[in-house]
Amino acid sequence: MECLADCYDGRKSEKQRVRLNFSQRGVVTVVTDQGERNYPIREVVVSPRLGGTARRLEMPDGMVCEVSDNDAVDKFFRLSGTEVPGRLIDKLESKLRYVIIAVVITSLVVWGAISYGIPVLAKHVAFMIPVTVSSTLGDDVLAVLDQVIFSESELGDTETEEAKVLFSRVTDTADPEYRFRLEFRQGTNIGPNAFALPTGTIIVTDELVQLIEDDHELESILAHEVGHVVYRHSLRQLIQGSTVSLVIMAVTGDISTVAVLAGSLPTLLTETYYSREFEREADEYSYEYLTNNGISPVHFTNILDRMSNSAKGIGFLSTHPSVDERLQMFQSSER
Amino acid sequence: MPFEFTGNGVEYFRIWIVNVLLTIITLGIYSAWAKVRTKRYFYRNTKVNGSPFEYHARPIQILKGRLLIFAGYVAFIVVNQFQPVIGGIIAIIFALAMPWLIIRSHVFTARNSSWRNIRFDFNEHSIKDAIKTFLIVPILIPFTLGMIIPYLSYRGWRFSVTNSRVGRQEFSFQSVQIGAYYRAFFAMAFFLVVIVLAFSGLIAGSGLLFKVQDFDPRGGIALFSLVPLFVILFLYLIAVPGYRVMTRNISLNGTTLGDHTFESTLKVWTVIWIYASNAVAIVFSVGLLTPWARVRVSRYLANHLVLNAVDDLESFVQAEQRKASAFGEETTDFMDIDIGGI
Repeated sequence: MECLADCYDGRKSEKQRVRLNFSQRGVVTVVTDQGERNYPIREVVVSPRLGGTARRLEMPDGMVCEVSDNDAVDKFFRLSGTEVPGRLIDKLESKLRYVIIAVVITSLVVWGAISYGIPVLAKHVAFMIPVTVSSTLGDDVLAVLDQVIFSESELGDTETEEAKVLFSRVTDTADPEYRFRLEFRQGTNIGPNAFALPTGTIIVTDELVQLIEDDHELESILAHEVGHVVYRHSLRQLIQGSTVSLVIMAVTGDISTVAVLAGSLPTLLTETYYSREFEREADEYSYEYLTNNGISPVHFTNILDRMSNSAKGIGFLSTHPSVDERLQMFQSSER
Repeated sequence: MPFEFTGNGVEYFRIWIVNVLLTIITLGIYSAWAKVRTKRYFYRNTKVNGSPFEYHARPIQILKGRLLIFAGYVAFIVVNQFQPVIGGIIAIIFALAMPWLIIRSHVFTARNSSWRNIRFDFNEHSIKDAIKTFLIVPILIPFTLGMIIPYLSYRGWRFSVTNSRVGRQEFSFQSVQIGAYYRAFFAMAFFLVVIVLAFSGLIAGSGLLFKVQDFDPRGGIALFSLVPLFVILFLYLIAVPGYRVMTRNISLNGTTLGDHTFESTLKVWTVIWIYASNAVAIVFSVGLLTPWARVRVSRYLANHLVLNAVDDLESFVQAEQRKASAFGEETTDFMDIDIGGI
């Protein structure tokens, strides 16, 4: 059996066109203008097949022959009973059905990791980290928010005192590990809203307090925010976000600075998905608190309704499940 | 004679998807094999004078390096959590070791690359140059308000080029003028300033319109807070890639290999277009067009690089093959950090 090859002797960058002769006895003969050289097949290192690229046959004396006829090489090595490395990988790559299977499995695994694996992992990690470590962040965040978003609260003392009584009722049942604190701020741009910082500090805007018609409504919102703290949502969001960008980087690889930017879009999408899941968890916490204390969950739906009708309440709602969805959850569980 | 790239997106897609799948199934272990396979595919499909390049690194070397880096990184995170001072000291030591790390990485890549069975090599004894280029000059960036960046680009390219060789033939960096780097830098800086000013003007104009309509000054302010975002966007989408393309052209056009010279004819706007459209394609195909995007970049880069050879390129002579000791090999593998890009 014969085929043509490009041959490089490894001493100079000279290219020689040669003929390769494969004999029945397992000998490769390189036929050049100057003469012939024989190599036992066992001593020839052949590279694994890689797409349509030329095969490299490395001879024991350092000479390299490149053969573009991949099939001839495979056939000869098979006939002489020598195993060619990397056959399995090439089979996976060259058969269309395996490629399709690979696409399907990869998509399923990535999807599964993003919607189940990473959240579960992040939950475990988040609860392994002691509260003291995660709470160093909180107060700095409030200082920044005060400069950028909030201005000082204009609520009267009686209003804040009443709210604080409600607040201590909500936090009494929560884990004593956290140092819960209630703060009031004027929201201006962000309107009626409430936030939870990982430290246990919960911020309620004046606009939200003014929207309250029943104490139980404020209670339900506070329970929702306490739920965020107890379930360590900010820490989990942080862990999940960075893991997702890591996964995306690993799959797409970094081909340019622009691709890094492109990678941030899917990250943004998954983050929205994650924060909706967190809202659901916090809603459930609030629901449980209300029912355990004999308060009708309708108060929570009432205040949500009113917040969504207030034009400025964008921040609270955009990352949250739609109000309709949440109302549905509460109503269906009431039955 | 031009460089050519003969790979294609469909073929690479098959290799890529199998790599991704096996990497996932083996929890990342296979990534070392995947890297070698990918590198080989791109090396072998890049040809000059009809002969391909070859990548020789063994996956097991890369795997060891990756495990070491991973272990070191995890240890650093843990230490940093409980002993921030020690963590800081480690970070400083790592930064100080950067010039050495860069040399080891260049050495690793060069010694594992060949063309026509002649190996490349990188000068290990370039530490003085490396310290100046990758430690001292970068420290000066804030003090010179970034004005030293073009000089840094010049030094970086000169370092990579002049310390490389193929066989016994060294690359050299001749008749390159630092002024050319400064012209590229200021051209892009000027462009960035103009486009940002134009955008701010546009926003201010539309803000005025809004004000007339609904008397809400807050809307205008919110729009203005988007200006820094646009600066970052234009910086990464246009100015940085544009500058890199220009410096690559300048540097490669000044590179010689014996009597042979190079000619790089990349077009700034074409590269920016390729990058931007690649990014869009990758996002909208949930990553599935990544292989196509990579092939596209490689093909463009190869098609716009010409080697003006004075002969048949048959006179490169193999240098004595360096057999790095086990320890040396370990360290070079450990340093298998990708540097650079275009």
